[in-house]
Amino acid sequence: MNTNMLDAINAAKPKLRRRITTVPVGGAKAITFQAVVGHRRALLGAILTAIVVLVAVVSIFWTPYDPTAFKTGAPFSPPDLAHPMGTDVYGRDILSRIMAGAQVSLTVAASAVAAAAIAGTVIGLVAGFVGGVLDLLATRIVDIMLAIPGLVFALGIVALLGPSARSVTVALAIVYTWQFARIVRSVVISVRSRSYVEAARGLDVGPLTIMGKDIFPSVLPILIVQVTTALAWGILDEASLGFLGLGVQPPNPSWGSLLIEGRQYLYDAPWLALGAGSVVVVAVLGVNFLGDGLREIVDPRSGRKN
Amino acid sequence: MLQYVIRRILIVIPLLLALSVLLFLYVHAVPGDPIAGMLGPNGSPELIAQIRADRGLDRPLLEQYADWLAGLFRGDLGVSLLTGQKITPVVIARIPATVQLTLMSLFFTILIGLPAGFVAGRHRGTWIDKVLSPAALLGLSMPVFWIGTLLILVLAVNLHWLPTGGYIPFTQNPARSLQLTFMPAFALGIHLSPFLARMVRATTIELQQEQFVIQASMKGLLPRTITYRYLLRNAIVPVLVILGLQLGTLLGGQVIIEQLFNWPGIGRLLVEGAIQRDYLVVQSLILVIAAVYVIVNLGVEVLHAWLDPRVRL
Amino acid sequence: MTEPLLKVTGLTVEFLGRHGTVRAVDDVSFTIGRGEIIGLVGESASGKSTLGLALMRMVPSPGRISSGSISLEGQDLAALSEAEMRTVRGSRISLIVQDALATMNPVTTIGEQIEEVIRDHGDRSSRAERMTRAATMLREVRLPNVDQNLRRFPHELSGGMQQRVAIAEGLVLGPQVIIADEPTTALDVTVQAQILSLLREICDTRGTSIVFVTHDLATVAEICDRVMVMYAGRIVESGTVREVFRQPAHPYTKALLSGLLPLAGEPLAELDTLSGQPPRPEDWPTGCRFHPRCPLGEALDHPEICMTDDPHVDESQPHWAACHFAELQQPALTEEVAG
Repeated sequence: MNTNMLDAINAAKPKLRRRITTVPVGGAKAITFQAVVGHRRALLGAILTAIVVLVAVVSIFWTPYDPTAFKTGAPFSPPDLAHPMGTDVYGRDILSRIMAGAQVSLTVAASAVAAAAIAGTVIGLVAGFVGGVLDLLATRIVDIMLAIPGLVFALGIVALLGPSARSVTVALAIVYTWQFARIVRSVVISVRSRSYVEAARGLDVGPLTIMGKDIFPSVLPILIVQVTTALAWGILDEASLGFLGLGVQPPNPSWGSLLIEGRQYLYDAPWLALGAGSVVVVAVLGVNFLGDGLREIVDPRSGRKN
Repeated sequence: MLQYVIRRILIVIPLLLALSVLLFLYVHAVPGDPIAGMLGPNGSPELIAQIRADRGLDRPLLEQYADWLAGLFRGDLGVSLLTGQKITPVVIARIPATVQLTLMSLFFTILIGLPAGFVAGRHRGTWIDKVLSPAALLGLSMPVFWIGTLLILVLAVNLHWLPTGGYIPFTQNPARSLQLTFMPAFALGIHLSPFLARMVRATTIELQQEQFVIQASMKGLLPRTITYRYLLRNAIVPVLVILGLQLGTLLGGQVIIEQLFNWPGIGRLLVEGAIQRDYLVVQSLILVIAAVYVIVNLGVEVLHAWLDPRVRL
Repeated sequence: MTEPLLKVTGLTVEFLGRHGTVRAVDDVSFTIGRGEIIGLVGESASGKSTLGLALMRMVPSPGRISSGSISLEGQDLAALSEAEMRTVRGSRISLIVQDALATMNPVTTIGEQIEEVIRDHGDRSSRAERMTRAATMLREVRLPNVDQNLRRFPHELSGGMQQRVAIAEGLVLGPQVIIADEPTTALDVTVQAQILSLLREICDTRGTSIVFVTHDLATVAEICDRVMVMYAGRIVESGTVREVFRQPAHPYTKALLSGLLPLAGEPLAELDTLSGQPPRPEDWPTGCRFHPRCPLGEALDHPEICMTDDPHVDESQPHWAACHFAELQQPALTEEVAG
């Protein structure tokens, strides 16, 4: 309540920025199984996400029809019992294609986010921990990278590498890295001066040990939240690039490539685009619920706000 | 105030220069060679060498960069690899359509996001909040092309209220032009407003716990005064900053929406360039988009400082 | 005796907690006369600030006034509707708090803030007239350069000037009662003295009464007429400043005055009983709430009555203390009351 004037001034903007970049720095609580089960939204998100992942895994072994087989039914048949999500121009079964697409889309999103998380964490940890010129340089590079709108950036990289699942993965990994680096760095900076880290430094422990044992555990909860958020972006961006014709190329099924096929027949067979789109919405909603829930678990204060 | 503006500009200039270096290197990061990459299997070594020489791509890198940068200062973005045309006029021709869509989208974003977030925050925990908050999360989970597709299916295909896409310049036929802008802009508005709404809601809730808002009740001010003068007025200031940062998402979403609605803007030019592997066009457009994003945010910061005097210090 | 300006009877504030309700203010009764400054002192969890808010009917949720009456010139504020109460706040009772800057709208000017208060309490004159009225009030609290400062934003003023503006805002409608909750704590000593003398002067010239909530006994001695000592949600001693400071009748007051138990910070004394934190509303002791820390009780070998019975007091007396052994503590008191 006794807001110090200087604090108020300093708080005015960074507070907002912090909220936007979703960094609940400091006071991070561990994410436990019980905490997730006890949080309604997190649990719902976890269940939805688990179902989507399960469908993707099942599709490796079984789909109702061969996802690339032609004439499993009449072309452009609307959803019915034999084809719960209808068929496309070649009579391929949409449900089977969406299941197989889940596998590709989730793999692309997950690998991109994993790579970005690792790279971003390393950059953030080193920059925040070492400080000085290195930190300044890293911060500037991150600023530059974040100045290019994400999808535009990804589009440029895919143009460079040629449209394929691999290119999309690489592009999204490069685009997401900087957000991770910024968040991790901010946590490291806030943690670095805390007494236990100082103490560890005084005890003549190697810098790698301090980073691994003292700093990384503080970063971890926030990192998990950010990974979840980035997964939602990953699924959306893969689908978006696919929609633009710059993602996974037909006839290989991914949610993105199914959408571009659906777009061609939007008026004759709207279920093509609607089906794939709805699945994307459900998957992203699940991940978003989970991410939102985890953020509240990590930072209970955000529960009031979000 | 002037000092603040100068300080902000001094941060932005190196950022823009660094961006130009990054994007210059982008073209040279093409695996193999941009010309070979663009021509694909059709490019014979002689043809490639000839185009390289034509475009000056065989000169030292530093020289090329200096030339390019000098061109940028003159507003010259260079020449398309594919067509050999100057890029700048092509980009300029696309600007009105894109700007019109951007402004309308921002209008819808504010129209939906600000009241929704403010009402949810003001009546936190009530049924209206319990409806609006999950709705915002749902909105955040919907890909923008999906929102656009739904709008087309409902408003154009089923109800025949609006055409499915296309563009007419505002100067040519204002009413028709706005009518055509409605769907793409509304789709982007739905896409962007959930984030704005969540931020406004969080700000409003935080504001209600601020001492000065509590004190407003102690002073016996009318609830109306508290809502508008104390809460809304203080909640609007951050909206600017949020919209500035959201411009990145908007520009990305616009690339997709322009494609869906056959909107001849910068975004479609970018996608065409990317698909045809015209790297110089892609390079120019990314530079233009990033520069606009950075400069608009500079403007937003200055405006924010002007509106909220506490920031200036 | 004439009808007191403000008469509080049996005021109780309850907070709905996870473990049932707790009483932050418990059965408090007192009166304030016109133009009187009454000091309300106590430790941080004693309920003094909550009592101040309760008088404005602004107890923060999940707290509420569960019983009692607040009678201002014979009108029971506790029985008013929220809309009626709004018209009382800021016009008949005002609250001035410690951190003036935090209480002002950062995006409106000083003048507008005061003008809003005047307007929202039904002044139908023009905006310019209301602004003039605001300026007059600011001159009265001796804000320098009023014409320029009217157009300034709160954060552009110094701490002392901000506090003057807050006082002007509280006074502009001529309230009968001001609740001043640590109004000078955040200021430096010279400014503190200026603000205090300003408050005293306003009281004398306008006949406004002030409830001065503080933990600073020196301030109380300086400007208050009467003092009430609050401990664990109750008033444990009440009397004129002169009587209470010269002849404290409650062992708690005595400990405070002797400096053994500062109201803020750690106790200086090595006494086992007095050390330790004041009790929280959720676990208030039975009987006399001071008994676990009471040096008198210890000297008397912990009489059972202290642990079982609430000390009852005659609140109509000019000086009273809620202690079973008040006479022992201060023999002079009985004589004085009897005489």
